[in-house]
Amino acid sequence: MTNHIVDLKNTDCALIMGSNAAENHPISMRWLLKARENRGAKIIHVDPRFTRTSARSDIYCPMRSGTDIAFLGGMIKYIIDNELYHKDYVVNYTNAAFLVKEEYGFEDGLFTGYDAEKRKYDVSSWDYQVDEAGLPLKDLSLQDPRCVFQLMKKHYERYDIETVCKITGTPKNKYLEVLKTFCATGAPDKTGTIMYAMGITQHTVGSQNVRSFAMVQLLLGNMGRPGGGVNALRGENNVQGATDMALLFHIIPGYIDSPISNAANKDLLSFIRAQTPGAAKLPFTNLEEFRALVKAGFPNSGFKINTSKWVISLLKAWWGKAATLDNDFGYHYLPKRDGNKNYSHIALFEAMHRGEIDGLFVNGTNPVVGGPNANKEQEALTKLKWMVSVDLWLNETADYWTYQGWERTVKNPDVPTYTPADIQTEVFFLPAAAVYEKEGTAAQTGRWVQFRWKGADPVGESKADLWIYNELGKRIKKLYAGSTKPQDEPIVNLDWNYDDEHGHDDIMKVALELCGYNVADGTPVEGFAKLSDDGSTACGCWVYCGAMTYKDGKIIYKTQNRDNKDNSKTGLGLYSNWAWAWPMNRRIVYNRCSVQPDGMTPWPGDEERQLIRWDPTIPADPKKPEALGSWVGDDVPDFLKPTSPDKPAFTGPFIMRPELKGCLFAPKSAMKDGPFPEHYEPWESPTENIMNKQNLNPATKIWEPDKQGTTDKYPIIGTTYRVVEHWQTGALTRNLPWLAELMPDMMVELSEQLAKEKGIKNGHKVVISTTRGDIEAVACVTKRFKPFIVNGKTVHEIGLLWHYGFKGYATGDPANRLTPHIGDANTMIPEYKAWLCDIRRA
Amino acid sequence: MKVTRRQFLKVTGATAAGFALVDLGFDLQATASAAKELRIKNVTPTPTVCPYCASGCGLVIYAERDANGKFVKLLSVHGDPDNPINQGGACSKGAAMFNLREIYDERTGEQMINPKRVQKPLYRAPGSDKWEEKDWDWMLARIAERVKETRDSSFIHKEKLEDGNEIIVNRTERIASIGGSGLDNEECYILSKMMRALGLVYLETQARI
Ligand code: SF4
Repeated sequence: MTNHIVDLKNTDCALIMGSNAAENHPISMRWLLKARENRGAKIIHVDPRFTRTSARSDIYCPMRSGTDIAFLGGMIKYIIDNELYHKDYVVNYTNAAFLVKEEYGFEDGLFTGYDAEKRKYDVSSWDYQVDEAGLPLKDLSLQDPRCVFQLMKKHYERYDIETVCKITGTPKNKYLEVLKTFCATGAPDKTGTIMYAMGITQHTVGSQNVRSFAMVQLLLGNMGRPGGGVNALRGENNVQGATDMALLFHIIPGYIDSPISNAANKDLLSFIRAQTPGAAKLPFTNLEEFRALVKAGFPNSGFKINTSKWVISLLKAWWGKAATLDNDFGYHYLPKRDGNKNYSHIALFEAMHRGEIDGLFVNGTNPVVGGPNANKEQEALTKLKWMVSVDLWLNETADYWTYQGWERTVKNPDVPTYTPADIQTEVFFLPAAAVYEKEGTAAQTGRWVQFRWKGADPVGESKADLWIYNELGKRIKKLYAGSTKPQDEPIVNLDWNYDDEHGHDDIMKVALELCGYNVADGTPVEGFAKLSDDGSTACGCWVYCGAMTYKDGKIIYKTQNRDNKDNSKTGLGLYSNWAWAWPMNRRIVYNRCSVQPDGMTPWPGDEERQLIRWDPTIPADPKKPEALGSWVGDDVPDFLKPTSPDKPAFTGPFIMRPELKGCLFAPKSAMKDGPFPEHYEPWESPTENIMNKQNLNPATKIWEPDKQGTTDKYPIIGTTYRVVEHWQTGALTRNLPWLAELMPDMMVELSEQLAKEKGIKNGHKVVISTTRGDIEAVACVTKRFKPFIVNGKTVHEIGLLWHYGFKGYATGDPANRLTPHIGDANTMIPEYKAWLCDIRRA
Repeated sequence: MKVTRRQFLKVTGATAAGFALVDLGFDLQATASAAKELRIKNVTPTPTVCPYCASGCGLVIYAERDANGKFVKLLSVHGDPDNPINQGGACSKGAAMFNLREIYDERTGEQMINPKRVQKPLYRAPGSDKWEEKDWDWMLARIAERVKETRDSSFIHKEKLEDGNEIIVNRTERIASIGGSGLDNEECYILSKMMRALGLVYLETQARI
């Protein structure tokens, strides 16, 4: 979330799309209902199915799964055509005025630079025109035909209401109602929020779906303001933190790209050059020269000009004393991946299936239920030599090798069967303590990092994951101790000292390293502005820097703050003294946008929702009283400081971008599949793409061409979702008697019309099939699904629960035995939400 | 105070999708002042955060302790009234968190550890059709050996680049790690650090799926 849960109460209008918030994030709904009560806010729900969220909304608008970009592209066109955009905001805070290279173009569904064989774009033409200093050219009147605004206008010309509704299957009057209601938040005194979840991301165009949200919100002037924002409702209690800590192949902690085996990453200096925007062509041959350039502030870098400090502090945190200037601070100890390979979830299981992976750690996750094409992922596990599963219970993945694991309710000759004797994997199950049987922090969806104290003892011999990995780390280090092989240095030299004086793991030691300490005396670094790249600071994840402080000889972990008074003067509910939010306890990111470009004037009619303000009468630094002008306000300013009105950074709210502006046009390598979102059909779709000539996102990798289902055999759209009583793969809910009883069976929802066609009645056992397999479920015939009219033809969509498997108190077939191995062009998130299937009575 | 499945159904079923302060009939309101009194009775309220959806609702664990402060058993789990996100509420999942550790026997009503929880490390030998209980030492030692074997036999220390130069890559592609989005930050952090020190590049979490 760019904003946070409580902030939903400040909105004038909420667009919920690809989320069933009332069911899956119930507390968020409570704050929205407050907004309706107190401010008369409108709630809009766009979804293929009428859900509990729809029931609480003012407008429910149906839309076929996988057509979000058509829907939102039409919204962008509507905003531009009717001049509903927030003009001052768009001109000053976005790249609307930037001129784009003449070479850039778009035709027949393809952007310039496409290589059909590799299914990849050369992105060099997707860039700004620049002056001699390398700064982008602009036309603040937004009239130049090469400016972003005009190119965007042209791009979305095709997205008229007629065409959009043909694609999405939305009734025109409903679509118009949504457009009118949400786009009214373009008025300067209004803000609107967009809330989404996996219904948006789990598509071959998932990233561009989110991009479309960002564009709508930038046009309407809704970013960086209370009640606004693009708000991902994340699904796992600490998925935000796991991402921050870079449990992902493509990054290292703090959102820095993980090194690649190529010349640009050959040593630390090259890596820093590659990772710091604008540094590519600068003349420096060592860190000292680089530092001088940073100090002078070279152009086109944004806040990432500090990358060297984050990288070197990370290396110091990991390899301590062994990280010195002479050995590039241990930069080579970091693994470098093959740049031509993808290592994401689908690729990982494809490699495992080919027998290329021997050992697997499974940390509280359950791909046998939750992985796409779960039959295949389960079969992939049989190729492992060893597997370590850390969990509270024997979930389906830990128990994948059992007889039960290979039973299928519906026989299919293409789906393999195994017995335990066939499976040579050595499996280690390590019982983990539950959340309240240990202590530690979690980052919730609004980036609040909250401490969870230990309220009970772990059951039996179960242990906290911290203990498990600390112990394992110690043992592995012991096995390598004394090795003089250069390849073992990353382990031999690894700084791994988390024990207290009694030999127990000490979470505060881990937290201090994670948040950063001064190498000389071990005191906490008080914020990432104080990190350095000379080896004097160590910090495991710079975005958490500032969460620890030193007070009266004691280390304070601010995540433990429990002052629950709202610190904002106008009752915005920032709660800045409750827990700690990254970065730097900022509650609403991009908050520079909550005030006009002059820094002082609130948006007309919106005095109460101003988060920060420029005060020209007080000095920013008490030591320099002559330099007047400082940013003040209820939230922590989120932009480059110190600054003054004559500096470009003064009106640059988006500091992680080199141009400091919100990107209506995503330049260069920001996206792999185009600078503007374009509608493509899902990999398995019931219709041709009528918006352009490409059916599938041209930049998406196709893993299993032979598994693409077609409408002759599989005419129905399948999608998946969750219910309030269960969570994800059900490991933490189907093992709880109370919840298992509330929602005991795997079910599939279908419309009355489809049910009639297929002779299915409520409560019947039915079989759902795709090219990947078949499952059984209980039919739930409802009015909540209605057939769509797509390109003049009737199309049915059905929905399956996500949560079931063969373990626990409530069991059933996993829906993911049906879903395909194909993912988004940028993130590789699987297309769980739109695929083709058929349904029949069992 | 015993809450059977039926009772839980009654109070949470109706409001499952909404967001009501779930009252399981526990007669002590979870307020700061009540908490103080509770402590005297060897009942400790401990604030935690819900492990389900990422909204971050606060919950309070009420536990009974013996005279020496040693944990005895759970009494109840309630929404944390002090937490500004949920102000004391909890949805059906948060409210059922008690069951993560303890349940009431369906027939006898007796409070016991959730029998699905695994209480000892378990080992499954290749080709075997059963789990065997092992101790932690044995398990960790053997896992560490497996890691070393696989890493050492598959390790790529250096690679040749297109320009003919060598580059140190320090990676293994034969070990993978998935998951972690349910772990605490500190746990994720040391996991990320250890896996990367071993040279893993197949490192993924639920954010991807
Ligand atoms: S109590 Fe419910 S809404 Fe709150 S964090 Fe837990 S699962 Fe989410």
